[in-house]
Amino acid sequence: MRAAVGCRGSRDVGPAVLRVADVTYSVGKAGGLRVLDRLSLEVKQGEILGVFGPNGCGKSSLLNVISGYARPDSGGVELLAGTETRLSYLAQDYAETLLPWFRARTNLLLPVRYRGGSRQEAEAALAEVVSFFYDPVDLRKFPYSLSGGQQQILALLRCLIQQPQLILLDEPFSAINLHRMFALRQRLALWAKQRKIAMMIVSHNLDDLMVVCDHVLAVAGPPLAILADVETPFAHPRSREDLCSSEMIQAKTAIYSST
Amino acid sequence: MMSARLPPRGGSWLVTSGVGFLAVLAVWQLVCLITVAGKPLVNPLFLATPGETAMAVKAWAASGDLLWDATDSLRRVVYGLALAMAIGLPLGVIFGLSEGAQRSTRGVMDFLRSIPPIVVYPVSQLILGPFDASRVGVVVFGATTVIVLATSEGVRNCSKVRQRCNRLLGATWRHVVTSIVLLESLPAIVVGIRTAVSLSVIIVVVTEMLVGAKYGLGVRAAAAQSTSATPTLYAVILVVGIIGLGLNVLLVRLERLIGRWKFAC
Repeated sequence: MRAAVGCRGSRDVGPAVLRVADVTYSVGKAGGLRVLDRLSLEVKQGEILGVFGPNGCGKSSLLNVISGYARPDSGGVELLAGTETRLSYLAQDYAETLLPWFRARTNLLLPVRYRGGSRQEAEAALAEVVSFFYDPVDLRKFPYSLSGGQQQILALLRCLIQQPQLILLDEPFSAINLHRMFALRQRLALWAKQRKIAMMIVSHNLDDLMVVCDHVLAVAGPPLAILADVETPFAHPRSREDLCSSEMIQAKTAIYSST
Repeated sequence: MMSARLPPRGGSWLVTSGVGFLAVLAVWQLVCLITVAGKPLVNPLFLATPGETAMAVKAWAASGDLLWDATDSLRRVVYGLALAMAIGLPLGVIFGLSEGAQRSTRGVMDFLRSIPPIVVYPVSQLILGPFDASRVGVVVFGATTVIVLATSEGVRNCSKVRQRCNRLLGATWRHVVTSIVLLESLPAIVVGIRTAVSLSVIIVVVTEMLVGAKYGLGVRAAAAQSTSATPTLYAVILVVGIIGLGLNVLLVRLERLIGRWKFAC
């Protein structure tokens, strides 16, 4: 089964920033496991899309193909945003992507350094992100003296510093403790909504997606197939009470029953 | 509770290594003292006592030659190493990043490394003349291949995930080299440079023993041999050892300074 999915209704979203058209992708050499089979989907500006599915169904492969880490066998991935920094990707091996010889602060500001930004620009970006997320990590430390969860937050915030139009997140909260996580999820959704950044979040934890996403694709595979496209209720930021409401439970039931 | 075992820092080196040095000194002195049937076990012509050696070092220093010998030898080593690094580091990075460059040059590099550098000395003299330039040339020849090999291996073993992700974050190739690859392969590069230092000291001393130099540790060794000044011979060995050791310790310290992030956890 395949489906072309966009954001429906009167939601406050703009033109498409990502178009995946008829993409087929196999792992390994020719004749390997077919993970994506003529898959199509679309993500619009400011839209937050969740992808919920079991382990090994091809969720991460989809993000790898979109980000350019992996090359599809056939079909096209089109990034339609106009600015130069278009795409940011938090992969599952986030810890290895940090640079252990730089302190957390320098790591966080790498995108500014890479684009040749000024000191003032870096200071401004840092202040904005750090205050928005309530000062989440000790920026004077080296990455490997941070906890796994703090490393993950650092890598996530580094994606935001990059100021992309589309952010791909692969299990972005997997190492972050529950106590911290709720506020982080709320703030992340708010950040994206305020700046009209599109996000595509892959997870096998449905609650993550219910708090952050506008709608959730229930998927199975391989090859990855979209079983249902369910809208999540309430405006951002969503509260703990929203998560326990009957509307939310109804939406979750719709997702679970489709898998 | 587990406590991580960290390499020792700071001044403790002299204390812990001092025990070993004292032991060697004691054995040396003992061998000199042993007599068999009224005759010393080892002919004094072959082996000077620690005391005689110390006196020889003192006389050597007092004459002012020690300073000149040591600085001239060190200068040759440092010039040669600096040039070897200037050539070897960029080449090593290129070979490490490019599989093609690595494969097409592997045979040549192995061939060059198989040539004992001293063999090149006559050719070096022919081209660069009988003075310092030819000695430095041999050092460059010997040290460059060592540094290229260590650097390219270090760079090749760097995390591909890290480079790929940072490319996506906007890093240019210049950033990948200066902010990522060189720092990640630093430990391997330092090992290469330490090997190159030892090799350079050997090359400089040997070339000095052969011909032409006025001052140099090798010059002093050759002179002492021709006059059968055994204590001076041992004094030269001692000083060459101390200089080599000093350079190595200096490099380890430097690596620890640059790579302090490794010890910060």
